[in-house]
Amino acid sequence: MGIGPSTKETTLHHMRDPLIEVVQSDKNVDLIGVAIVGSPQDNSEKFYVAKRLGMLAEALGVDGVLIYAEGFGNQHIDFAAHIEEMGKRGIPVVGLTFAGNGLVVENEYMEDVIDLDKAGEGMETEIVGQNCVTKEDAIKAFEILKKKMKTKRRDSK
Amino acid sequence: MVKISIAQAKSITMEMPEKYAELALKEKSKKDKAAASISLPKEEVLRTLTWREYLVNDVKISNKTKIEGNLLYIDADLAKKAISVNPIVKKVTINVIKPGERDIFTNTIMDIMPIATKVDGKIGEGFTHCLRGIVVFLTGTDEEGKQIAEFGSSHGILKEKVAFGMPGTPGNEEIILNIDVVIEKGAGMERRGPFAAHQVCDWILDHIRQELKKMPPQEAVYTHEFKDVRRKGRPKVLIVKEVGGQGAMHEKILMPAEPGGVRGGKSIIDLGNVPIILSPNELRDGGIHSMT
Repeated sequence: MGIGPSTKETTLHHMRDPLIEVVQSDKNVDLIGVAIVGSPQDNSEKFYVAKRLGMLAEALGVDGVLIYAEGFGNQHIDFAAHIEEMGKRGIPVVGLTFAGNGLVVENEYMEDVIDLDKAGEGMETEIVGQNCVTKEDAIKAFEILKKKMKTKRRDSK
Repeated sequence: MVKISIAQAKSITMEMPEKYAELALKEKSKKDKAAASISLPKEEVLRTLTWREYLVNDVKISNKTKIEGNLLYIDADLAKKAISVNPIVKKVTINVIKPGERDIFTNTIMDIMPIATKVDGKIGEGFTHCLRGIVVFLTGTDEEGKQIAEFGSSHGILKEKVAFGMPGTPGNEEIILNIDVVIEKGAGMERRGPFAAHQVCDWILDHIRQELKKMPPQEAVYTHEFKDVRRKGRPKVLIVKEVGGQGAMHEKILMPAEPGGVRGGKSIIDLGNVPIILSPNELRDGGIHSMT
């Protein structure tokens, strides 16, 4: 498994990423930045980088996280680990990825994951850009995250 | 409590103990403060990126690279000279695919990128010039005709192999500048292979960028200001992008010298794949070059 034509983000996509546009245009949240994390080959390294991401989020004192993962299969091992690192710290998190025929790993914190499959085939279609994040996906994920952040604020009061 | 109601009067003199007057004044100023804090924007602008777009409605392969009257001329010799940039690259072909001509065969699409350049400042702030109506498709094979792709290849009839109109792909009206690269046999599965292809493509684009830098502001057809803002007191949201970092074709170049370029950037793999923070403007200004 890996990153195929339909799930890879081109340079153009990164420059026009709907996630950034959607979150930044909401005046009621503070977008503090975008963390780029690589997906290493070895499993031990995947957990190494996930741990760093967790510490980064903790240090920044974030209230909510949107996590996108490129590709599918072994990339979802890191993806699950990233979400777990947030979940353990009580940080509301929503994931976006191409789930394929179901994620290879799951954990208790992965209740909100948006599947980016557009063709509905659950496999790599080899069509460039097809299964990437659209504005609709970004809005959907962000609305869920806002709801989760609100619930957390209310519960902690 | 003091209450006065006057319907018609010429001269009114009011007297009251000083402490009441003080109280009345104090309350008023408090209210003013509250009103002021609501109307004041809570946004703090950290940096501004001014984005200017220049329209291109045709591309011609010529003997000099220049931009003139919405026409982009590309020096035909660039394809030949590009081979000397990296010895792994054996052949480079530049094709222009016009909007109605997408019914043709292309090799696997390694990346789609705009042609943009910094005029002032570094990635994420200052001024950027970008060509509108044209995007670059980098495609490639190795000497034996093997597609430079690992997990699925997008070679085939162009119009069937691209989901046009997505955030990462052009619309139906854009010209495609196709840079096709042939690399050393077998190098496609090593990091140096795809890297060489991207490097050569970047080198060719650098020549167009040099011309794009010279464009006067008044000729821009579109100008937009992007701002990196912080909103103090609002819930803090972090966006995380997990990108490929496994090796050949699972790699990104971060913060290159030119928007969406290669030169000057660092590979996410060499950075140890650990999380790196980019500002929204840095991302918009091509802070990530996708080799995946």
